[in-house]
Amino acid sequence: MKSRLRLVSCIAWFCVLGSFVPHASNGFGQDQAAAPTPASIRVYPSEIKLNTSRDRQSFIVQAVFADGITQDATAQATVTLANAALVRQEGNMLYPVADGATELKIEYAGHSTTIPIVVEQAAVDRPISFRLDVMPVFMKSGCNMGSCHGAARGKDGFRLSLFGFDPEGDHFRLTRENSTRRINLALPNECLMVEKAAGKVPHTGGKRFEEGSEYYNTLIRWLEAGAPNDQGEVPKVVKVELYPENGVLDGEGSEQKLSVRATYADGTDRDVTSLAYFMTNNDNSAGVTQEGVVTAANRGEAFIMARFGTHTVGRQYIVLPKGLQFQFPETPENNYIDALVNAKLRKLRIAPSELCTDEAFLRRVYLDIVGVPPTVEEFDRFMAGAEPNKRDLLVDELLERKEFVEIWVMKWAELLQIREVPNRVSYKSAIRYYNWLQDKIANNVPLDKMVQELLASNGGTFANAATNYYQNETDTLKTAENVAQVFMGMRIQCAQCHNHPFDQWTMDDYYSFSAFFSQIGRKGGEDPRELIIFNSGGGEVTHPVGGRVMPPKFLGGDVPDVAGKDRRDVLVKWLASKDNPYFAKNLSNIVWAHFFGRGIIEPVDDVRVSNPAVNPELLEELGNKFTEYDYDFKKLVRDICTSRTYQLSTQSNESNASDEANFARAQLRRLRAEVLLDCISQVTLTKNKFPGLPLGARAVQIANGNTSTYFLTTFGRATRESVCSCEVKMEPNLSQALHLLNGETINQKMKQGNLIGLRLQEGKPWQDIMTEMYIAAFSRKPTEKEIAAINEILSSVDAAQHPQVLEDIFWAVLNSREFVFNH
Amino acid sequence: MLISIRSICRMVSCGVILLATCSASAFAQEKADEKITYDDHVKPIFREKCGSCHNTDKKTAGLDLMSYTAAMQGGGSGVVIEAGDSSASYLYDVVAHISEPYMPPNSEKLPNETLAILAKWIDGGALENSGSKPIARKKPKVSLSLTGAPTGRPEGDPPMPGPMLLEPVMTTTHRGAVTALATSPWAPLAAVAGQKQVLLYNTKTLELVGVLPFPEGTPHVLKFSRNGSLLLVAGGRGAYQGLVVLFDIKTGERITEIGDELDTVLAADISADQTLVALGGTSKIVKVYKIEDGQLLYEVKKHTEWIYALAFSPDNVLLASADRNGGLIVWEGINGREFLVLAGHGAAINGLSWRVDSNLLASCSEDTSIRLWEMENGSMVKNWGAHSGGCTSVEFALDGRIASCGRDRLTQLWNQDGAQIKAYDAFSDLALQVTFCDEANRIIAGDWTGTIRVWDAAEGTLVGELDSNPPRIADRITSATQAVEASKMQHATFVAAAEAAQTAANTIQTQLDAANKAVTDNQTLLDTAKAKVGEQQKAVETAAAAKAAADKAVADGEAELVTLNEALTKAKEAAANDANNADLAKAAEEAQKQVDAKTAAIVEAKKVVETAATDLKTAQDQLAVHQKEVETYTANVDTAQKQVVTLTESLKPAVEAAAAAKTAADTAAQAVTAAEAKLKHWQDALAFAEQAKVQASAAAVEANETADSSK
Repeated sequence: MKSRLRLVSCIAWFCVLGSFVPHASNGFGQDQAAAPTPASIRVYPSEIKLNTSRDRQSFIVQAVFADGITQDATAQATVTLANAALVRQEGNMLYPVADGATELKIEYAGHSTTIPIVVEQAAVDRPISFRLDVMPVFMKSGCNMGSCHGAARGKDGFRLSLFGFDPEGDHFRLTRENSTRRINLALPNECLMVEKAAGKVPHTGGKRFEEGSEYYNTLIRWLEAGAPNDQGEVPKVVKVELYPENGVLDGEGSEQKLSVRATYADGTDRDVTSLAYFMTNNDNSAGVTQEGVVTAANRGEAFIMARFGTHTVGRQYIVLPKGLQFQFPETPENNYIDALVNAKLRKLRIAPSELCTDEAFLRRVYLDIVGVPPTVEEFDRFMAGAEPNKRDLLVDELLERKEFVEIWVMKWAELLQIREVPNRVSYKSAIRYYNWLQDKIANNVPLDKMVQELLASNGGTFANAATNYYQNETDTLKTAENVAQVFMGMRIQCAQCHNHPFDQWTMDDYYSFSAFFSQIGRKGGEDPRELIIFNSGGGEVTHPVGGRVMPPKFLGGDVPDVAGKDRRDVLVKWLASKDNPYFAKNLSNIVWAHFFGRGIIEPVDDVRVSNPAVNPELLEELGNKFTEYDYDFKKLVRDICTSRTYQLSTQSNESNASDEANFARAQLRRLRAEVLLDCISQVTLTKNKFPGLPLGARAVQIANGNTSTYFLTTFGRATRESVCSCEVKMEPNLSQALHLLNGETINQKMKQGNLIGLRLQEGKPWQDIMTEMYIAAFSRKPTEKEIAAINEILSSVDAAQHPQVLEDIFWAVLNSREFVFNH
Repeated sequence: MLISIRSICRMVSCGVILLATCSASAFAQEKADEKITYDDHVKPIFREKCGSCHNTDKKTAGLDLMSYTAAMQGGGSGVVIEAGDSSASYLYDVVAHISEPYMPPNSEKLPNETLAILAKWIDGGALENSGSKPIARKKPKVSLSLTGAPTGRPEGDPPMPGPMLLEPVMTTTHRGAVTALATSPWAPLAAVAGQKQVLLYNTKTLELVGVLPFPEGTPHVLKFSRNGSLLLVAGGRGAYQGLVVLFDIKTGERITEIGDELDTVLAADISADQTLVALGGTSKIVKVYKIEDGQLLYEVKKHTEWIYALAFSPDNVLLASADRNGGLIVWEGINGREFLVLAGHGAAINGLSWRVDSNLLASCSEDTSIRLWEMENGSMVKNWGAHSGGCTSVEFALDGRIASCGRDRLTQLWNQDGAQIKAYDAFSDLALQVTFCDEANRIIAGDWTGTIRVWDAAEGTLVGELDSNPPRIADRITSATQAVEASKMQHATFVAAAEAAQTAANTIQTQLDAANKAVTDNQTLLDTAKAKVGEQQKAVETAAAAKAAADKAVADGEAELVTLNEALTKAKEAAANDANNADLAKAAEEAQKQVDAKTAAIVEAKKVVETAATDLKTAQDQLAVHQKEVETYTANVDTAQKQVVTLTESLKPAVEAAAAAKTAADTAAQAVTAAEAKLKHWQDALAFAEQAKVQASAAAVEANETADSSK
């Protein structure tokens, strides 16, 4: 009987509660397109160098309209060469004819621009190079992808190095591993490599390019030259540029041609548009063909990338509906965060949502800063407050509470993997490590100091608990990966075996960075559970291809002098400082992500060229502020929580309904496992008992990553087995819903706390009880409609059943999305 | 509706056939259109487009399109070809991109022409082969089998190519790597893999003696049969076709083709009794065929990697197979039962070779080693690191020595203990293939750049090179003609030089003779002059004596005159004193007379003196003249003698030079003869080739006529 009733009521309540889900509000009207006269034109590249007879360079003309919309005007522009005897023009491609300097004049819609051209060595034919000419063909044609010949064991009997990290080996495998099979210098057109790639014979990978195409001809030319290897050092690519710098495309189907230029260490450059591999991070909004043409699709933003050699560069493309008319609403800006977020939203033609209600703000800020909902008293006090800056005052107040520290100790404990590991990390070690961390956060030690102390630590894991970092992870390479991921937000693992396919990191970078951790000495202490970490002063990291000893080099930085020094000491002074361009930004992003449910770079520990920040200026500024604040993240939290952006409603409007990445509205966020349990406990007036903690301690306070309960595990508590941000699982799933509905936690806690029973005993009317319950769970009073609905149910049953009904309502409240989500 | 249209079409085409029988040529096109069959039209498409997955070995998704029966049977998704209805055929739907998964994967849609053929074939009832010849064309029977395995030198002359085409199939701008080399066990004959051809060279003269066309692609394996009468050529086009072809060494005739692989054949051998051919490659399966009818006898599927080497034992009992993983297995040749697994190599095995007694097998591998295995228990009896970087080829000579080459660019000769007998000059790149010519005792090896060198095995001296990319005959004739001209010009030059040298020698001789004569003449003159000097000296002496005598006479006379004058004076005084004294006067007169006489005598004497003085002077002058003559002639003799010495010295080299020039001229004459012979050789070869062409076309015409008449 009871369960049936509960089912009925719970369905009813979901219907009622469901109404809080945001609905799209009215947006902005659209008029027809304005007069098409561009405000300016942009021509890329800004200067052209043609060097040697086979060189060429494409140019791109982009018209920019007053409203920021861009249009590819390459084909329409009038192009004049000052001296046509030096340069030959075919479409938007320029070829050298004779040495000298001239100019290219581009005119379009009343605007005109001139770019200088220098032609050198026009009569010299640069000999074909395996690394410069042939390897890019394999990359572009996908031959050395992981699913093809780039696989560790190759494909169909033939292997290339993944994304071409080992050109020497690739040359060997093509020409001499099986000397008579893959190439045939006598009949270049008929050798297996060429016939397979051109689809003339069956090829598992299909036809990769046409006979007679540029790629085909490159291979043939290389074979005709005798399949030579490069002698000596070949100039490396030092820079890759992708043009145009950005685009705002007007309506589905608009196109923008791209041009990619690579600059080499010897100062020469080359148009590599045909050799670059193009990618988009959002082909729902803008797709890109392998010929380098961006095509707009649905409204949104895409990051278009070109990869050449080990370089990936990206450009932002915004796609707007055809002829969109948009007026950015007048919105107050509380601080720099709002200014930068709104600047981005203006570009996207997205209006931010309205400011959220005081109730919503109160609950949101409590859950985010201290990890518990406000009590009835706290609610009443805040709602009664009349100060115009009461929200700011509340933020300041909450930042001083110890729960704030506990939340961040928990988050750092996840990043530092504080947990007991059988036979390696003792419980005592883990606890001391946790206490060390708590001490640092509680005393507001600047994060750069904390990180420096942590990573440069020496001594026993008991005596100096920070050294636990090196007990948790004993593998040199893994340690380097963890440091990069946690403190710089970079996953460099890929580069262990091959150059990172979607980022700038090469194997050289990986092993050079790892070299900082190659001289960590470890020995047993007096207590068998203790490990002593020291600087052994010896030990090197070697490159797996060729076995070179790699000198320590900062990731993306210099090669420091480490002779006679503790390498970690040298590293931390760079790593946790403003010299490291990633440190402050990364930590700011981690903090940001806590309050918005997603990072400016998402996920926060996957910073890479191909996963760009949605708002780089904002991230940059947060990083600057963080540095300015002397790495006091409390100040950063204050900036964030007092910004209007943080305080936006979850209600969407027409323009921001489909956008989730640009912080135009607040996102619904499921409460994380520990916070949810603490909330349930607080609302149901119950206490928890966790191992090693007193009765009534909160789940947030659990020190050991290995301690968990069924509830916490189900709701995705981090096991701390890795440093990945994915350890904390925030996705709602069926077992969570079922556990809340039918599991032990809610039911038992309701019984245990007996809130309804207590209040009825106190003789409170049901309206008061319901109000208290609503404030405790939702930080708001029940609406008239809800009171009426409850009344209807109560009046339809005997008075004796009223406690039962009220309990059922309480149960439904705890099961509601409004309770389980932060909004 | 569709069907009815189709049947109308069919009726129309039937009508066309009826017409076609009346005038065959006019309607040949329509006739071809009518018969789309699996064998003639569809299988080639399947092979090219589907064969890499839907083949008999892989059977991806259970579908095998490589045989008609299997194709009609269908695959995991059921029947894929509904004869008579392409639109209901799953196969057609996926290749025509009507339904997913689109086939072939990752490729563009097949061209419309190809799709049209497939549709037509299915709609036409999916015939296996042309209706007029409903039964599969059987391969003609080939009988090459010997009674038992030949154990020694075959009787009679060892098989050498007779007059054979020498025109290469193609000549490329660059050379490819050397893919295969082989030598006949009994003849000075080497086979060299070229591009779409095999070249036969005489290993003694290093001359091209035959060209065997292999239009299927690159030959990867060359093996002479044990008696040297056949050459097995295996290879093909990568990822497209692989097969084995047997050639008759004497005639160059293509005897039979065996196997039908989807990728080039990487390993093959012919059994000693010439009844079986084994082949293998990237399918990882060793297939053994009967030569007689080309039918598959058995397959072995134990290898886990590409088959790299196959070798039948000389006694015809065993078959050894090796793979890219280092797997080496010995089978019973006749039935494919496993005999021994020879475990040891750690990397790809590139070559296998049996010792002639079949008791020892040599294998060479990328793991650098050459290993020798005995066949009792399959134990490894020897193992040595032969080539750093990997050993690419190994071959047993008949006498048990082992030739090998490897990635260290070296070619080496070993004895069976693994002791190096000889190492030959390193190549400039990886050495890939080696073979030992027992007849010529020469070792032949080829490298990555296509260079093939021939060394004297014992001495290690480089004998010459073989060309895997020989020029066309026309080019050879051009260059031979040029060579003839050049040699003739050279000859002429040499002859002229010889003549000039002879002339020079002759001139010297003449000069020498003249000098000798000058010596003699001057000597004579000198002698004469000397004699005259002697005479003249005597004359001078005589004249001097005469003058002295005359002088004396004058002096005496004057002295006497003085005395006489005194006497006269006294007489005159006395006469004067005694004027009357006649006696005295007479005496005075007498004295006067005496004085006068004396004075006269003195005058006379003085005249004599003068004469004598003149004579003396004359004599002295004469002497001086003669003395001068002596000096002159002495000098002349000296000069002449010196000349003689000089000329004599220069005469010898001049004579020698003349002789040498003569020899050179003679040699040049021989060179001219040789060049002319070579030119004639290639002209003959061209004539032979043209004749062969004429014969071939005549044969073709005849065959056509026969065929026509038989219709």
